[in-house]
Parts: sequence; structure tokens; C-alpha cells
Amino acid sequence: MQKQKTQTYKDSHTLEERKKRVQEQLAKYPEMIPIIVEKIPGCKLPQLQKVKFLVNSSFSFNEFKNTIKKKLNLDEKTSTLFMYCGKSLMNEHDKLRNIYDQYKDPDDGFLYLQYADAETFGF
Amino acid sequence: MQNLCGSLLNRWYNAKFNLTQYVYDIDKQLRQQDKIIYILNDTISNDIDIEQRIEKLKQIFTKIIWFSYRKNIPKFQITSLTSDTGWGCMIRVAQMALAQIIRYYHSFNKPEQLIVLIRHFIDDDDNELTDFIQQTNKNQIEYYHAPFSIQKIVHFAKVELKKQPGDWYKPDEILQTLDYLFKYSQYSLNMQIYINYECAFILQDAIQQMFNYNQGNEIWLKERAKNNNQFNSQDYKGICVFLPARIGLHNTNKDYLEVMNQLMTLPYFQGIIGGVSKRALYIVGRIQDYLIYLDPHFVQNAQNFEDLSKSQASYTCQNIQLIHNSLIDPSIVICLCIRNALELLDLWQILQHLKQEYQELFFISLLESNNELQILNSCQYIDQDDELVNIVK
Repeated sequence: MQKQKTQTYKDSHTLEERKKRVQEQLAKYPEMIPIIVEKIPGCKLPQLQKVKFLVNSSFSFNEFKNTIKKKLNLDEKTSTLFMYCGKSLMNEHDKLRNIYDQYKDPDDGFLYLQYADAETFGF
Repeated sequence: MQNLCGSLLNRWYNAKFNLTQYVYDIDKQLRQQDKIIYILNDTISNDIDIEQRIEKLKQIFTKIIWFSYRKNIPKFQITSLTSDTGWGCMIRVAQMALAQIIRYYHSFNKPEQLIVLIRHFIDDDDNELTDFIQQTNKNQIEYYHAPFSIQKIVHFAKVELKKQPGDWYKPDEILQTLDYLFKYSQYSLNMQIYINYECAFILQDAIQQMFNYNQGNEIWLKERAKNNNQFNSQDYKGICVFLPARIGLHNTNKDYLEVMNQLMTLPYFQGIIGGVSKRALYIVGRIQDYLIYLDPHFVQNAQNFEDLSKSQASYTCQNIQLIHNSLIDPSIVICLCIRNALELLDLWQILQHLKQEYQELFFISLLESNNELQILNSCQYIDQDDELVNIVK
């Protein structure tokens, strides 16, 4: 059991490491998009086992999101999963290539996504 | 001991509820905000004086059916709980939203109509729960007097969503439940529910719910709207539209709030299921950046049909409350009511116009048709000392 707060990918890898990783992957698989998917702190959904993804750039964002839903054991049709890049909610039906070009990290080239579901209310 | 704690808790909620109007002096705030008031599908413009505007707001506000916490609820059957105090507020808010849309669609204003409608949500459902449990086991559909009672909600949530009585609810969970229970209501004869859980409005799906036609698109809808009067009113149903969204990661995003403000001015707007600090609220309107809401956090005794027939006073809230929109939780559900083809077409065009104006700040995806999505197969491979998940078609 980890005693410390879960570190983000950026926290646990130096800028040089991250840049190198992206460049390697893009050289090997030029049509793939490198994505990091992490959950926001406080969200009750499970953390993904592995946070690094390489996804074919011709897919729509929604197709990728459904894959994440499946990995999190969420029902595709009736569960809410919201994915953000920084402050922006990701538009479901854009192509990944367009989203990557617009939202990739300017320093290392990864596309950083955070996910959250709807809030629970009861109090 | 449990009763004493329960009773103290109830009193605390009620004291807090009553205090807000003194602490925040809502009346004074309303008077200072010399701006247009948007309340549900109505607009109270500022070409009449402030006293008249507040009077009109009170008239509209007090007609909204209010559901609050209730105690002494009988016969949950699957639990010894007798009250939803401290856990059912999201249930109450969703009940308010659904009741409001049904009331608006039918223009109910006579007491007998309102009694039938409120009865749909009543907390003492006079033994219907037993029938309901038995018949759901036989897959038969019949109409109940109280299809949206908290007993049935909690029962469905336990069986299908694995939620224990007393668990808190997410907006999508209660919506899923109400969607399922809707077929047990007589209102399903002329209404349908359309929920999109992906923060998208898909015209083809809305048309499907309204017309039971699965190849719909904008051209088809335009044709249909042109010939609106020629079709038998039995031919289509009104739709209750619920769009869950998350307008910020930790706090609300100011840009998305601006879009939310615009959506609240639509003539199809029927409230927002939202909340603040884990407390659910039914937001029904706004004055500039202040949101007007109904608060379910007040405890009253559960009623049965006989009580309800004698008085409906406990379903009216006199307490108009305001909250600044930057304080609400980013998890919201936009609620709309569309009554016919013309309105659906108009909504579609307004949403597209808003999308053009706000671009990526417009947080609802708009799609004409629902394309089948592929589930992507993924395989993993080891890369140096790290493992990468590789997704391929």
C-alpha cells in the first residue's frame, strides 16, 4: 500500500525522460498519439492500471473514451465519464489528431487527460 | 438513541433552512438586482417595476412542486430506514425536475391534476411497493399511482445499481432510475425521456424518443415541423431532456458558466439538477450570475394519498434562495422540455447557433446522427523497462 499521495505522471518523470519517451514513440509509430490518462484527486473511480496510451490518430475521441470506460468497468451507455485537458472539457466527436494538435503539452508532447465522473450528492 | 439523533438532525436541517432567508436577506438581494429574471421557461423583463417583478417571481416559484426530505416513511421493505434525511437530496431534486417538466408539458393548474401528479412521487405509496416488486419479477408493465415514490426508486437502485438504501446518488444514477420507472407512469402515454450521458445532444436520438422513428435527421425534422398541424397528436410524444455535464474539474469553469447562463434563457429550459458542497439543489432560474433554487434540505412528515388530497401545502416552497453561480458544484444536469417537432427543430438550431458563437466553450456536443461506435481492441507490450498500453483497431 502506498503511503504517499499518488504522484502524477509529470511528477514522477523528469521533463527529459518524458520528451525522450514521446520522441521514441513518435519515431517508431508516427500515426499514433501518446496520451497520459489520470483521474482527478477526490474522484471515486478506480485509477487506471497503466496510464500511458498510444492511440491511432484516426479514431474519434469518443471511441477512445469508450475504451477507457471499459477499462474502468463502467457501463458505456449509462455512465458519465468526463475527460478534461487542463481546464477544457474534451469534445467527444473530434478526431484525436485534431485534439492532439490543439491540446498537447508544449514541453514534452504528451496529451495529458484527466477524468472524473459526476459528483455524488447526499448531504 | 437513534430516534433522538434522528430528531436532532431533522431539527438542525430545518433550522438551517429557515435561517438562510434571514442571513442572506433574499428579498433585499432580489430588489437590488435590477435585472431581467429568468425562471424556468419564462422571462420576467425589467420593463415593469421591481415590486411587480418580485411578485411575478413568487407566483411562478411557489407553483413549482417542491420535494423535501421526509420522515416516517413507511414500508421501504428492504431497509429499516424511515427517512431520507441526510442521503436522499439528489433523489428529491430529480423528482422536482421530473414533476416540473410533466406539469409544464400538460399545463396542469387544477388541484385535481396536481394531486394526481404529486401522487406519482408520494412517499407513502399505500402498499404499491409489494405489487411492484412482484410484477417486476414477472416482466409485466402496469401503471402505478406512485411510480416515482422513494420506495420504488430505492428498490430499483438496489437491484439494478447495487445501491444500498441510505447511499448517496449521482445525478446519472437517479436519472437512470427515473428513466426505468417512467414506463410505469400513465404519463408515458404522451411523454418520453431522453437522457444523453455523454454530454451530447444527438438529434437522431431525440427524434427517436419523440416520434419513435430511428432514421431522423434535420431534413426529416424540417419536413415534419412544416406539417405540424396535419398530424394526429397521438403520433408523437413530448420529451423530457436531461443532459448531465461537468463544467469544471474541481470548481466551475467561468467560461462554461457563461454558456450555462445562456442555456437558462432558452424557452425550453426547465431547471438544472445541481448542488453545492455535496448538497443537491434544484436550480430553476437566475438573475445575472445569481442562481435561484429550491432546497430539498427540510424535513417534513411523509404523506399518503389521503393526506395529499386534503392539503398540498407541504409541496410548495415559499423560500426563494439565491446562490452565486461560481459556488455551485461543476456536476450539473441541464433539464429541458420539448413538446413538438417545431420546438425540437428550434432547439436544434439554437444549440447550433450557440455552438458557433462559443466554439469549444460550448460544452455540449451536437450530433445529427448516432453512429455506431467501435470498441477498440488493445494489446500491451513491454517497452524497455516500462509497459505501454497500445491500442489498435
